[in-house]
Amino acid sequence: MTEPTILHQKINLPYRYTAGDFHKAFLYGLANRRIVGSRCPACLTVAVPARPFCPECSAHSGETMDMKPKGTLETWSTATIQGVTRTYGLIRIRGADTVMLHIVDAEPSTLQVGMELVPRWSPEPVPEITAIAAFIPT
Amino acid sequence: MGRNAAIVAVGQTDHVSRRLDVSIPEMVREAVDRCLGSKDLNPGQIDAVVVGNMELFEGINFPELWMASAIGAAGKPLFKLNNGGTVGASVAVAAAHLVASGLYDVVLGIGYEKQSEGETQSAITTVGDPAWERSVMAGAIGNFGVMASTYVAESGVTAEQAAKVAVKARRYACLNPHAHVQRPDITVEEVLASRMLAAPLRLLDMCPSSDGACAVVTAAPDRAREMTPRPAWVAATETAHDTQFMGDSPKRLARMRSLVAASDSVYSKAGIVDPRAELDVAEVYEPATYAELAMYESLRFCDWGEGGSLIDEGVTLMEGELPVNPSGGVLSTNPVGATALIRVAEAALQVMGEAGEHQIPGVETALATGYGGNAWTEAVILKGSAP
Repeated sequence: MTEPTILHQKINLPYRYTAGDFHKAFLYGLANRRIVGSRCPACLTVAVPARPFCPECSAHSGETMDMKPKGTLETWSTATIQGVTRTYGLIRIRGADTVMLHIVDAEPSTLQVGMELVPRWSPEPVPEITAIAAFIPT
Repeated sequence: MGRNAAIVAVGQTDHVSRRLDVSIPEMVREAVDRCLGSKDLNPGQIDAVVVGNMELFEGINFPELWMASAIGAAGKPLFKLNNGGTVGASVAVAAAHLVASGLYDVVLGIGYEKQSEGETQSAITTVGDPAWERSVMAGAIGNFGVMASTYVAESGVTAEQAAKVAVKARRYACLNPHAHVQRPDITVEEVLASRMLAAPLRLLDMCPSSDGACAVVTAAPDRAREMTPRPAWVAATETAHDTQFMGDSPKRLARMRSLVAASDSVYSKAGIVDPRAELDVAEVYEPATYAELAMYESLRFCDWGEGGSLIDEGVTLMEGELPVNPSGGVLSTNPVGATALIRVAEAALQVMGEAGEHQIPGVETALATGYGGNAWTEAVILKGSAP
């Protein structure tokens, strides 16, 4: 059998993303060590992170609101890749009807659905999701 | 088709180079709110949604998922189409088919693009086959330049004639509050003096790159009559493909095979024998000035080689026998995933009598076309009375 011909090429595909007012409020909240959500004026669903449309009823979101920087672990998964163990989970911020995805920094054997978590803030006050380095047990 | 379907409502954003005030879902929602608001409709009346945009342009996978909460589609049938520049017209055709089949009574069709957020030409290059065309192709404009050169050789069309198309488009855009490039004082001389992009195409021969969205509601006959006094009835639709490689059909622009096939089919289905006489207005997907002239020929508005004289004689001006693109067309507004849906939407506005300052009086029959990288055409005939 002859060798297959396989072309190895690469395409550069940069992108920009305009966050919009609600995601902007969330990101700049993080830079100030605050977690910002939004409340639906129609069905009162509270979403965290803040977003422009209600995830339940699609109404335009009303005002943003500051949340308590505490949450509970709804679900998680741990993987070890090349010797590094990482856990990511869905965290329900107190008072929110939605859960948010983030890194959880805890000893895997201690992880339990329902456990309380708080953010460990990154030393850099950046308007990015990584302003929270991870959620950690209380 | 099974039963009739009609377009009842249209909404567009005000198309611009960069929408820095909204995210992609927020921009789409703006078009949807305007569409539903124009006829006092509400999201609860929508049975299914069809969304279209360009693959890779903003680097997003599952773009329809991004839209779900923005357009009230969660829990409803939500279909995505990604078939190049023609996608918006495909959205309109798919919506009409979903209604005509009897599966859904009211379908919301959406097209959008935020071209400012991605690298369009990088994305377009992935059209090319890696072993052959991808490494040597030159994005969209080079492709259109090649096509225009063959058309010039074939038809003898002049740069001045092409420039007249640029002037027509940008002046009519001033009558359309949603249009992107509005230039009331543009002249043929200015077009001819603009920067050469990819010979023979100059800057003002080309469509712009826009951020924008368009939404259209299509409904079954009884619902359509409840929703608006004069629906735009979908009289005929067709889609036609060409082959993959540019060289397989070197005269693609001069005689665009998929456009000829699709338009001949809709004329036949709608009982149109002489399109120039029987169409009241056309909204065609012209990516460049030369393309509009070539399309006059493929659409049988004139004989082969006569596209240039049609613009010279003013046949396709708003006061002419067959106005083409009174909206300002693609040369004035080009949020790619929305562009072909805007053609259908503008044709529908003309039939419904809602085109405002760029309304052609007494439109009974309108043609809209979508164009995908010279390889795919959609054609739609809309009528003022149920077929």
